[in-house]
Amino acid sequence: MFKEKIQSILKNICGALVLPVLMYVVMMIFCFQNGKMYYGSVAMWRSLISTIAASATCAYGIGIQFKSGRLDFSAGSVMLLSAIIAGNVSQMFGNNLIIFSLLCIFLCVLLNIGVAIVYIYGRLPIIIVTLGMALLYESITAVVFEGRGVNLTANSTLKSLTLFPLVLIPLVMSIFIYAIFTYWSVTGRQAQILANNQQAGVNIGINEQKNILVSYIYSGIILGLATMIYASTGIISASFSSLSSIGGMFTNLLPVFVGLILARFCGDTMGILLGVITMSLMEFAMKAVLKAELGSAVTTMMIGVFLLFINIADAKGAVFIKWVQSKLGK
Amino acid sequence: MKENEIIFQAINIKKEFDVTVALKGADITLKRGEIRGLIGENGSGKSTIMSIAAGMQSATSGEMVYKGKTWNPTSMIDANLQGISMILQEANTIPGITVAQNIFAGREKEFTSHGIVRIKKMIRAAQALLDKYEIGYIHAADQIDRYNFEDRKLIELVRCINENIEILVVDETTTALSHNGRNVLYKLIHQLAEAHKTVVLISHDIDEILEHCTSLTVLRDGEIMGELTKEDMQKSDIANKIRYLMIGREMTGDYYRSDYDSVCSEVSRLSFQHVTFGRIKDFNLEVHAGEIVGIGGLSGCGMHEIGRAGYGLEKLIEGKVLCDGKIVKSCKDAIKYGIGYISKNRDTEALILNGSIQDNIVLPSLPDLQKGIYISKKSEHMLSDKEIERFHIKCADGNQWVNTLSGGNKQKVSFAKWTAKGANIIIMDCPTRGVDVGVKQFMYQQIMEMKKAGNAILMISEELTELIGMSDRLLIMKDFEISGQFKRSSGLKPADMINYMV
Amino acid sequence: MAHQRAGKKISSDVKQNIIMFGGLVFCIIFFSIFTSLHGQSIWNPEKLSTLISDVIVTALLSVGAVFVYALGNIDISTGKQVGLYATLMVVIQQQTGSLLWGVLLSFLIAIFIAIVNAITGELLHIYAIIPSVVFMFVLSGLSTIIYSNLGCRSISLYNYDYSIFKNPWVMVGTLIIESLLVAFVFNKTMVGKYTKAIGANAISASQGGANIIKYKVMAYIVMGVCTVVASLFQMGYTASASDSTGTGYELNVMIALILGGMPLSGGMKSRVSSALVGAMTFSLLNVGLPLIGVPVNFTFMVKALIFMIVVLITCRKRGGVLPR
Repeated sequence: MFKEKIQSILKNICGALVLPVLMYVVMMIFCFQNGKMYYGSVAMWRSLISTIAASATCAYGIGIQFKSGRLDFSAGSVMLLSAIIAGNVSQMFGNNLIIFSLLCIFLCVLLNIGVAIVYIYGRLPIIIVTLGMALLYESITAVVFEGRGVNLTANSTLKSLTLFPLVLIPLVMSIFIYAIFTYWSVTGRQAQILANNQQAGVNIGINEQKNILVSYIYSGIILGLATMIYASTGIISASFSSLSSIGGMFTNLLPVFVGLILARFCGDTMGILLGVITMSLMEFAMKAVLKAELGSAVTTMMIGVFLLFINIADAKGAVFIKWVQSKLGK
Repeated sequence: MKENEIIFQAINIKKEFDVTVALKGADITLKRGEIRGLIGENGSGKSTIMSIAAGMQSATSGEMVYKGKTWNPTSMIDANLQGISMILQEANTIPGITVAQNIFAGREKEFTSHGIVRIKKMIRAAQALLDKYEIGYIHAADQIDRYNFEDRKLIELVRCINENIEILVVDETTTALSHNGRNVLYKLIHQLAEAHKTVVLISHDIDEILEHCTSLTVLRDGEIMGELTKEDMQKSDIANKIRYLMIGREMTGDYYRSDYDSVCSEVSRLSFQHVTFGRIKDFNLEVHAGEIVGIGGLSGCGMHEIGRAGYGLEKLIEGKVLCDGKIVKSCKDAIKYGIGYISKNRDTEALILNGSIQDNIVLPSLPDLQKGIYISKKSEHMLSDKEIERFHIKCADGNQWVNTLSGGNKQKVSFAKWTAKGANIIIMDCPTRGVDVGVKQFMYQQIMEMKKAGNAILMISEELTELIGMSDRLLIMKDFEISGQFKRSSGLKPADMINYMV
Repeated sequence: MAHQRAGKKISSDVKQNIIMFGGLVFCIIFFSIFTSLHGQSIWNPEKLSTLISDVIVTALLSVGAVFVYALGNIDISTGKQVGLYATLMVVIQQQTGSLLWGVLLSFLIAIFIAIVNAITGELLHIYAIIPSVVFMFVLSGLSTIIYSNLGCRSISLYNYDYSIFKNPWVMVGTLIIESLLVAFVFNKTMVGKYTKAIGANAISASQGGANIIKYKVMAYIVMGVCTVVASLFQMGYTASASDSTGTGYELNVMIALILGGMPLSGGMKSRVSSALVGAMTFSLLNVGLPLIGVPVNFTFMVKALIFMIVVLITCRKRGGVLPR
């Protein structure tokens, strides 16, 4: 009995860590071959922590909706608009960090509630609602503050949230809130029911509308934490004509997928974090070896292909394994 | 709390969905300690009226009185907590979560302290309940996916019953349960009645109702047709009287077939040879031209899967399905060889609801209608109009959308697809489910015409009377294999088959 | 009762027509009046030619997109595809002096993308939009790499007489031919009919004999081919391409289709005419809004609002549980 338990714990740990460890080793070889020997050093981890925090918070925010079967395209635009408004307003008020943080969270929650309300009362398929709201929010960024976006890269106070150690605050908080939602909140448990059998859940009497609204508030808070970091990472420009926020949001969707797959080993909270770490390791290596812009492009491409493969593997993995087994058997 | 005290009253309940009227003003009075049977054909309103009482939907008009006060539940949970619970016919359990979470679905707040849901407490409470109803072999901490359909229905039963229960409504649940499961359920029903609680058993199985109920209400077309007391139910010819009330008239002419001639051609059109897939192993069957082969059994016995396999929808691990000697590997093959399939899931599989009657009817025939790559509207029109005529489909014209049709007319469209194509081997799964009586009779006549024209018909159905009435050869399936075979004869009764089914 | 129901169906047909033509007529009247009041009339020859060129690309794209949207899918990679094809055509023309090879290569790539989109979309079931997002990433990365290697952000055709692409007769003629061909395939052949059936109810269509993957691939190929034609005209109008060519075009297609009354869930109500009418309405908005004094940075917002409003009116689901 005891031995079985140890065996199953070991199996879980191995399963969960396979991906990040593999990525680390492959990237390390890639970097060392190209003369970048600082891969794996403390300095790397120091700078990586910011990327991890930025991605993880965003992934947790998207993950709450994704778990309920809602592919939310509006998350990126919510963060964009909040960043621009919060950043500009805080600068007007003397770069107050507290005001900035509170504004980020408040705005994200507000915008998210907007999306939830349109979904609940519009009764449209979620992809259309979130695409439409993403358009709307992006278009607003072109109008507020004369469409100048926000640039906090030179702002040392506000930027401190992107650097160690302050960056840990939003990271830890978002992990905590995600865990509360998933394991301990009534809304989270009921959301799970609605996700697995919507009609039964509604028949039983679970209030679907209230559940959606509350879950959007939770993800709004987490996105607010993500915005706190995101707003200072680079020049944030307003969007004038297209769905520019979707790209950024989708790169953070990959860890969510990975997280849900690893959930059988370590639970989705940890799984998402491991997914983020894996991705960040890859991105760092790409940026180090190739030129910055090129590195971004290649990372983006690889993420895209990776996303596709992971989805297919998850959907058809069992079938594929059986097929391989049957071929080997013959 | 006396026996025979009136506990629930529904007064003049009307329920309308768009243009369909499900209930035309029904009254029901329930007393404590009663086991009331509610019987009627599909579409009679028996499920509707109780689902309104149990809080699943609200009436368009009418009043309800429960325990002396006006009754207006906001949801099934609300009704459940106040004593009226209903077990639905469809699978109403939630996959991917634990048994305990299923049992207390919607009631998570009761296990919350300081805003945090205590799962362990929920599991303990759930296990206590399972033990209480003698199904303790089900572990509350397990994922519900580990349990089969019947165990899940029992878990649903546990969900519905709590200390407050006064009225339990069981909607057609017994068809899904095996012998053991049914016993658990019947025992529970009688226990509740002895404790002065009320049970409403909704069914269309006359024998079951006569055996377990203390009183009976018959519905037809949204109205109450008759109420029978225990004495009435003891009378000798009562089953026929009930059938008369359910159907509304003496069956003039033949409902099913009048002949007992099951001669058919020797030529085998559809052949299942050593078919193995899923839980089905080594299934063999020949369907000959001009023959109606019926397959019956409890739902979950595997008969629906056989129908799908015959049409090429299932990947076989071993064995093959042959049509006139040619292997059927996919439904494209099946259609090419002249096989047609009417799925039991009418709205989700057999028909395109958001499409016109014409589009639905011509769909399988498109390859035949095309000249080169061009398909003329005129040829589509002619084809579909011919079928609308043949089946007397009630519609303005072929452009009318299928989702505006009644159940019976929708089923006619399902059939028309295949007569238009000229398919001469038809696999039909639950061909008259959800169809009203008049249309049923018409369909049975059509099926007879098909048989006389030399078509091979495989009829899969959950209604034994229909199978007995129509088949030349009747197979009963149990646990994914054939457990009994019967030839057409006038003396066959559903009672003969029950042993083979459970 | 049957006639009551028939009445309901006819009125929903009428509703679709009202939205489709109503929007167009309203825009024509509105902009005719207000643009002349504000300054330059929208029908003034200079603006008219801008209008035509604006319509052409959107219309060419939207006509092809009808096939994919009829399946109930949305394609987010259209803009990046246009960018890539335009770039390839210019680059190859600079090397070989002819547009032909660039166009051929674009066709090949488009067919490849169509096949991958259709097959993986089918495998993934619920999130059929994901492959198109992946392509958006991949193509965007490719574009960055190409321009990074070229060392500039925009390139032009070398020594090429591109006036043919600016000729309104050629533009309109191509559009008409493309629309007729696509409409024929959509309405009168099995490819189109199966596409609509798959969009309406894929299971039912497959049980009725449609090979889902085969017809999905064909639908995506039709869209891909139209995208290449549109890219040709997009590039041809200015004889150049840049790293931002095509940005946001998928959005324009979505809005054009919606304004034209195309149901976003696809199915039997899809029509090619929605694409044409919608593209015209959309271009009127695009060209007309600045002409009535709407500041540039507000146009995006107006488009987004119009999208949301029209979608709310046309696609709202009644009763039952919330749609997924």
